[in-house]
Amino acid sequence: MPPVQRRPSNHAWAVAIAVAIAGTGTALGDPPGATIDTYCVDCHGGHSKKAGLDLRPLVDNPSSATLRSLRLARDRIVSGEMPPEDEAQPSEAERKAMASAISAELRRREPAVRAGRPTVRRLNRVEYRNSVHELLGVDVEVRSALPADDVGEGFDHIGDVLSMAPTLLEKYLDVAERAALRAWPDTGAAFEASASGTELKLRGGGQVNQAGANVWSAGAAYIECELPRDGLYRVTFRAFGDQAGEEPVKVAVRDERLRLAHFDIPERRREPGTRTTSVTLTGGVQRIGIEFLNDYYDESRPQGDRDRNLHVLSIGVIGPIDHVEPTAVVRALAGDAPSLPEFVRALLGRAFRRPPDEKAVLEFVARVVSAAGPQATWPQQARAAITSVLVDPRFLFHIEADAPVGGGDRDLDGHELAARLASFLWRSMPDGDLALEAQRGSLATVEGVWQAADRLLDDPRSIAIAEQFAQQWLFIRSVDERQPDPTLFPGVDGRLLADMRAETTLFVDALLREDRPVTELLTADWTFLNGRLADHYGIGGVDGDWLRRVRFGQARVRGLLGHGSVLVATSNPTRTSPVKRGKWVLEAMLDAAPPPPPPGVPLLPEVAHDAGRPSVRAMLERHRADPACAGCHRQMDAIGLALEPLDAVGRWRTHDGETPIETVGDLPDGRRFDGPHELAAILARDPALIRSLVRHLLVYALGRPLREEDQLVVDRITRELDEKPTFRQVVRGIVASDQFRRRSPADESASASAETHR
Amino acid sequence: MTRFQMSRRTAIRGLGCMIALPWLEAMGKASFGATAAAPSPKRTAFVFFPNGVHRPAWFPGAAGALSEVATELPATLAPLAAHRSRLTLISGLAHVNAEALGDGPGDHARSAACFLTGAHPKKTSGSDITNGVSIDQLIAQRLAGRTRFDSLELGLEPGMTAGNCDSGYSCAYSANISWRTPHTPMAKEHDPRVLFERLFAVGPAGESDAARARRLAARKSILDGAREQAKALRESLGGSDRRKLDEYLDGVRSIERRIEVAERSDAGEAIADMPSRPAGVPAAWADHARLMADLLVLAFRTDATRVATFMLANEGSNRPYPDIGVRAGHHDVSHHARDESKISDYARINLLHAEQFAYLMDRLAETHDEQGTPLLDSTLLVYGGAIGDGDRHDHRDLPIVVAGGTKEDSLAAAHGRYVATDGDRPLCDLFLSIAQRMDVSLDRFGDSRGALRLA
Repeated sequence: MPPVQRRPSNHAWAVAIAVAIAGTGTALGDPPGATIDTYCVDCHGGHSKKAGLDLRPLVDNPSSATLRSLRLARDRIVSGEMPPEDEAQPSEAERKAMASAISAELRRREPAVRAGRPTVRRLNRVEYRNSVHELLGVDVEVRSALPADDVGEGFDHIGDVLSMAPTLLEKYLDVAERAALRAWPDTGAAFEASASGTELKLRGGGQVNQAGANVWSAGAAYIECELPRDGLYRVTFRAFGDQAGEEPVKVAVRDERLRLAHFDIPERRREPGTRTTSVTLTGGVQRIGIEFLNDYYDESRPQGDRDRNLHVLSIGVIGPIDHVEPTAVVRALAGDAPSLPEFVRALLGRAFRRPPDEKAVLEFVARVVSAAGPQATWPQQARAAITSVLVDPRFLFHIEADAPVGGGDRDLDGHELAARLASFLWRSMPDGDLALEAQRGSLATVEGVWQAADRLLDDPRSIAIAEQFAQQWLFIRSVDERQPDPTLFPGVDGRLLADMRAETTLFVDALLREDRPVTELLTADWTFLNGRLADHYGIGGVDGDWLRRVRFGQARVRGLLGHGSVLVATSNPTRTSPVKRGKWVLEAMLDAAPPPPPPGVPLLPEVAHDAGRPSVRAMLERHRADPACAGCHRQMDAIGLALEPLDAVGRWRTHDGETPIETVGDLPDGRRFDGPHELAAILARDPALIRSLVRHLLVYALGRPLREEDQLVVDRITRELDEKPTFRQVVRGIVASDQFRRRSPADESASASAETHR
Repeated sequence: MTRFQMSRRTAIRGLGCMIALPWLEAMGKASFGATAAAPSPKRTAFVFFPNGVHRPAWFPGAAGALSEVATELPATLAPLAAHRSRLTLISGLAHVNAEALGDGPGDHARSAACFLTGAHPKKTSGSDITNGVSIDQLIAQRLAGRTRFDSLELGLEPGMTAGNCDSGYSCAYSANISWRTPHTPMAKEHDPRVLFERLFAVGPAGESDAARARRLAARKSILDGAREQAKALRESLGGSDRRKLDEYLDGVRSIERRIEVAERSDAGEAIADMPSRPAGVPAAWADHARLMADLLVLAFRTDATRVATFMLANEGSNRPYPDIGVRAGHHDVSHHARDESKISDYARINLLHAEQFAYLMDRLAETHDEQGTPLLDSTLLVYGGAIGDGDRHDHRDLPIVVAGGTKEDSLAAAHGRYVATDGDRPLCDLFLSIAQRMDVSLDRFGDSRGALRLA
């Protein structure tokens, strides 16, 4: 677990650092350079470059050392992992001197870091949904309509990873057509469906043939269709009856739930009759039927007056025929006296996140006219415009022009910055105010960007940080799809798991909204609970379905380590996994993900809960015995075992089966703790927690992987924060960085100096 | 119930009731008078399962004829006993490119990525995913344009949406076996309703001919504009950015072609008992699997496509199967370390998966295409995965079944038998044979050495 580097506190190192900062390209200087030569280079240099790490340049000419080697060396020296136990050890003072000198060399390189260049990035489905809402005031359902986005670097909006399979564009087109119809509904009959002969469907006794549907007992002939929206529709049907008994054939026009209109059908086969009625129907897939209400059969009556049946020849549905206003957002875009060019100009300006030039407007108008057809009404044109916009690459992709090749980085213009801000903080597009600020040039200064970021964070739409960022950062997004073993954990169902995810989401959102210190992630003695979740945790006094803030004092482990979401996400279906929990803490909280196990290592045998078998702790002790495992597992297992009092579904326990739980552990650097409370306190004090948040949030903000040199920016942002920064301060640090506000030329990422961080 | 004939256009217009299952029983049994003399088109499907097998429960003791007695077959193969005469069990095939080759852990990600590509995927969790083009896509690209869909990709789990998937490999590798280009996996469809709508409902069900014609015409104009825009943008961008626009342009072309085919297709092609739209993902895993298999059969039967892939789960999947009493995760029990109860759970999952493949074979056997031929005759199936022993993560001696086809198919020559190949024969050799069988001439594929002959 590498805490951040310590500041130089001794005159001799300060001199060494001064030499390094001067950037003369000379040796790291004595004593640190010589110390590295003494303790490190035997294994990491010359012929033997263990772990692919060559520290020779560090000694000879630090400016030629790779960033990776500098960072690795510093982190391992500081954490005490290197040199290995069986080699000669430097003194504590020597350790500090080496670390400080290397840190100084890293800082010297900070000004040269390039801004980087995110790949053209498709809107992911959350951004798509939010942007359509922002643009049109229409809610589209994307979870079933669009596929899940692929994940890279832990997040689902990384440009390189978001590919576009051929079928995806068609799905976008389907969604776009539906959104357009709802944004500017048609008062004319946009939709018509009809069925006759064998196209009719039948419920109840009867048969369908070329002539139509013959309903001979209680039942209905019906048509299935997908209505564009709720509204008034005109239903027309043609039918006749086999008449018998005292009354004519009686029918009702009905939908799935209700009879909507009643008719007598006295007509006979020779002259079928037509009926038309206007009924209110619900949008979506509907069955609209003609129900036969008065079946009659009397064998005692003469042939021809014995059996009453209904024959339906055709059913048609047209509509919606009622008047529905376009959404307020779209009406505002169109203005009072809608003209197509004006509407298109306004629409493109918002949808493409920058004002369009006249040529683009004219081209687009031509496209719309051709799509809507020569006789199109205004709403048809408006819809064609909306559909076209929603599938246009300028809407679907975040596109930023590259700086000229061979030149330096360029500042993003106001519109590009606005798009980045809205994407980062809302996972959406800029609202009207932000677009206006961009237009006015308010985003040209860091202060302007901060002001805009503050406003966006104050807005409810910044719930995206908790929902999108935190859920992915903390690996809890799909926790409600977990299936804890129902026989071991009865009552832990999808609903409870969804409550757990909501708990963490509301918790992070509250931290952000109330501008609380980030460390409260691990120290908060409050959370959000409803009756179900409180019962599950064994906390009394909370009833009902709604999650609300509860201060629990000592009744629960503080912060995220007591959240069911995290504890379930790091467990197996039948038991806890200390290794997964340890890995979670290292990865999410401290950003020190252990490397994957070396190839060919067998997994530990599963431990059953019955007595007589060794405890989980005893099994995990074997990790320590094997040097191939010990390096990483020493930390992981100790952390995970400290969380053992919380079972696989997050409830408190004192025994695992028959075995009492022990929770004492220590870390390689000597810090000791007993149980989840002490572990949380130690983690909350670790500076790596802040750096982890900065690093994860920077990836999230940029939508691209970090290069090795970006790590220097993470270092700098972290360094410049208060000791107990708030979430908002971290956001401010990120949006002020060159990585966020500038862009490199196209050749930058291909240049030899770019090291990918992995 | 009277059976009636329905034109495809009618079917496309009239779909709708939201019942998931009842139609499925009725659907396949319809047969058509063998009116056309034209031979059936050749079809192929690749069905994938993750996490390998427990070899003693999978491979029979010795090569030779497969017993027709289910209890004499290895336990996990029992569901296939009824079809033994229509399938060949093969051992000894290998995917060297799924091995680490210096890249360290990540066998699950590599297995899914390599399964149909034979390529060694680039280890990256973010930028620049790079794999090979998969055999189904290669075949689909060569046969492009003959059917409404060049290929279909089915699965039972969505793409993974949280975290890194396997030891530093992008989730795209574990969740996709079908790769259109080295950088573009074909996202699979797992929701039966969405798949059905894609297959058959070109627009809202119940839409009139006139409205539909208007909408298709509007789509064409919109796409024309979008294409011009994307082309212009593409010119202004650099390398990796261009690739994104290329993908977009492929999407435009794909929709345009479907519109053309939809406009051409006319009343005349008859489909009996057209099923209705499924409501969504069934709650029970096996119901979901069977429903997707039904839709695959339906797609072949209506000649919507001739090439398909079907992932029973994502590679490395750790879902439990509580419906069959397996409460631990699939991946966990695959690393059984010779623990008897885990081996038993592991084998039960493999058995459940084999049952789904057997169901697919059943449906293909009893469903006839428009030429009046059982689909199983025209379809060559591969069932398997690219992990051999799940406990050890090896990629040799892979569990592979080849099924379907007729006597004319050389790949069907050994049906009814268990064939042991020499031990490290590339699985790609089989794919080379399948390409040939699909009339796609390929000299080599992946690490192939030469087409695999079964006899």
